[in-house]
Amino acid sequence: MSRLMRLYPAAWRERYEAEFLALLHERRATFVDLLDIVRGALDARIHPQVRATVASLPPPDASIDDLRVARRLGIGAMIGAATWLAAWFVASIGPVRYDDAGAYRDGASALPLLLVAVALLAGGLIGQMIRLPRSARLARGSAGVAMLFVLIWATAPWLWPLFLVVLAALVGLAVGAGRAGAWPTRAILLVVGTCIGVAMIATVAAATSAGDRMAGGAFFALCAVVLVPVWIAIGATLIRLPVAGRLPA
Amino acid sequence: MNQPLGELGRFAEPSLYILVSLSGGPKHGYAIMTDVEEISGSPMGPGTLYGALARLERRGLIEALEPEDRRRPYRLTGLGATTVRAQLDSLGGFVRTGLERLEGKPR
Repeated sequence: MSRLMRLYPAAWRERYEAEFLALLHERRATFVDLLDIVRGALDARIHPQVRATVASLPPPDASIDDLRVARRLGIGAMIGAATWLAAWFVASIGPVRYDDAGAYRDGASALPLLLVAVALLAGGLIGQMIRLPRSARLARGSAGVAMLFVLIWATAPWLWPLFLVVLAALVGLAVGAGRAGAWPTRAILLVVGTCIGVAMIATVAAATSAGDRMAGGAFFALCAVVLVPVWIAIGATLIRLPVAGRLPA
Repeated sequence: MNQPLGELGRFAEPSLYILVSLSGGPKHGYAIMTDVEEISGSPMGPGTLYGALARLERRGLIEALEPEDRRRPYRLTGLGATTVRAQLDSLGGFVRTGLERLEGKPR
């Protein structure tokens, strides 16, 4: 039964879990009750009635100074989102060149912006690793994988399988952070939904635009732009850290 | 001030049952469940019970008392009492009108 309790948000569990379990101790739960509990957990996540307090947030193992750094890295990730958009805009208006394989758009001029943007995103992922409790192994490990692969991918953006690894790691980060109660449900749904959607579009685009590098590049740029909400979620979950509430009086 | 329960969506009916149950005095979760089952004739699931309790508590219609062991009793607030009375008055008027029409009395 305590496993089912994990479906509920951390703030809800802090407020109601003890008495809820006491009730289930008195009344043997039927199968219908179990379904009702799952439904209640979904409702508690979609329509939260109990607001998370500083006390209900999972205690980060990091110091206040570390959390300040994490917040700054979150702000950096938000700036990175704007830089990322600018990079793909510059890449999309690059000159059209021709070689033996046909036409392609030369986006090399966007490379500096792309590298800065990716570095800022990697900073945001480091911030998540600082901010998440050590017990959130899935989330912290996924953040590390995403950071590593996004840096490798930035040097060779045409290697889209690397991009898919980044997307999978971002999903792992969101799911792990959700399980640890460190991210709000909206951020989790946003990241998971966007990453799965972008991965599907990128895969279909790669399959259908084989041989047409212009079309492939345009599809890929579109996927990259759609990813911006993920950056914002990574940054926003760091910026909203209750650092001030933890400062000693 | 009457706070309508209609805004609670699927939790409106369970909430009314809970308010009626607490009108008889403070009760903890399990006592509310068994009482509601007696009143309504059908069981209320634990997820639904706590979904409704959280909504009622947030709106100030009920309040939690000090826990007894792990069980926490709830009681009706003044606002909750006013609300349940208004809801029951409204339902009473609806029932009277329905019965009058069934008996063929003119509107």
